[in-house]
Amino acid sequence: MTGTEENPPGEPASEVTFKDDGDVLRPYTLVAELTYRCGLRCAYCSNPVHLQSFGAELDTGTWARVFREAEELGVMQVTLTGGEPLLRHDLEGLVREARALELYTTLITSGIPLERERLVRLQDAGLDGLQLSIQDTDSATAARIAGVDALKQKAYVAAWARELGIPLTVNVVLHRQNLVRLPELISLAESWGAERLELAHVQYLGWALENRAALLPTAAMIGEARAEIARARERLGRRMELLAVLPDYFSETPRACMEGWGRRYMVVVPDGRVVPCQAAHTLPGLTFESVTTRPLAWIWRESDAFAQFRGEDWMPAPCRTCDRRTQDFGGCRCQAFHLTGDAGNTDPACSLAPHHEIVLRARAEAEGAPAVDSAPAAPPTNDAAPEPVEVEATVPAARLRLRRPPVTG
Amino acid sequence: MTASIDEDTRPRLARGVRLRQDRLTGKFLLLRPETGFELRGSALDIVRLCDGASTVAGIVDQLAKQHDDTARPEIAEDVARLLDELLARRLIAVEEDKEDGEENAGSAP
Repeated sequence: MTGTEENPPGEPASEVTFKDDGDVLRPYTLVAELTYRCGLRCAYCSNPVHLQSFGAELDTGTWARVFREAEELGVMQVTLTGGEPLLRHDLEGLVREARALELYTTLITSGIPLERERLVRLQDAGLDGLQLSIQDTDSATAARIAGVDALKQKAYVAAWARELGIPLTVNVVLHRQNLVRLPELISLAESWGAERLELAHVQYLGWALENRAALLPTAAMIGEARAEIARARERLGRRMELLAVLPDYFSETPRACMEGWGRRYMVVVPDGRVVPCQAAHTLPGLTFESVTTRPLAWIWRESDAFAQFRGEDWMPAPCRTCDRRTQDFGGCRCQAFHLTGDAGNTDPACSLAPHHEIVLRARAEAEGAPAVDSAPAAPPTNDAAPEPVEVEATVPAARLRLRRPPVTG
Repeated sequence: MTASIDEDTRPRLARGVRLRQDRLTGKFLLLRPETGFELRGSALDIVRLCDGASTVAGIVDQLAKQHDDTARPEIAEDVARLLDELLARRLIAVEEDKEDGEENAGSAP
């Protein structure tokens, strides 16, 4: 979705993807972050590192209005995500509202907590697709990453989706500690009967940036992953679609983050603020308007935050004259800010960026970091913690510390 | 990718794929998770006939009848080309894909 996509090229003559219809300023996809609550505590969690500054969750009626306003703006896809959206008791009602507007409705979930009966109700409400995240095929590593071992529950959810005929996408966030099990991860999704497997490398923002030393792989690991993905595609044919996004730290060109700032996506966070991407609220100096005080159309068209990095006027050299500026849109603003201190800089992932050496240094550090595999996990910690806690992960050659989000479920 | 689609197969929209009109442009799109594909030219007419009941040959017959019977070879070529593309992108399915097969399903409690 928002990475350096390594997917087969080729556009059929009679079709065009959303990406190519560049003339009209309209959003295609609404990402609805229904809650930041979650029972998992993944070390690369996309939740804000500082949750305290966020307000109360929007109620059912407000979300329904947001869906209506989004559809009127041209949105055709709605992604229900979080946190863990299953923790919203009104999820079935929200799916029904979205589907009544003919929005293509996808639920992104950890599958916890979910019983078969609720999945049936979600299907009856009109759910179009289920995207189930897994951490690893190895229970110990999965537990070390997520704070709990949930693989068995996820297998049940996948089997129910299969049985009920709900299209299933399995999503795996890849990083140094699970890359070695890529073949097993692919086999697992295949054995679950998934339509698609999304292998999306960690994006080093937020919690993942905090834990980068434990998560960033080596160039050799990336090379092997590429080869494995190519072999799997050959073998799978049409049986299962395989989407892969490898880390932009190794790609020399930046990823087309959100397919451009304020271009195709709008994200509504749990308290109603509207942001161009899930991490944009970490950027200083931007005021994000809320659906509780402004119409969605005004926020999309008129607000300063959406205008800030839209189009090409904001671009610095070398982006401004680069041939790739219509493909990568200058990369990720949040990555530029978190690595260089200025969101208006060229994404350091780009080999032409003045700050590229920051990424090269992180790569070199990854080469020297200990390999991580089959280590005993720290016991899962389920008790609620008011502040982020540090959990020690024991590894063969060294001890890496993972900082985790607090339990918020 | 696969060879050209067999004219005895009965294509239908793949599971999870939905046809809908874009309210801003009036164009039709095939939607599936996270993306959509605009149907251009005759693509919409062809996709609308992919009902899982008509064979590829039957779809060509219907289109030839509607448009120009003498152009059947060209129509057959257009239909095969589009359906091959849609199949490769998993936007349509044919029986042999065994989408609903149970052979890979795990056991649920």
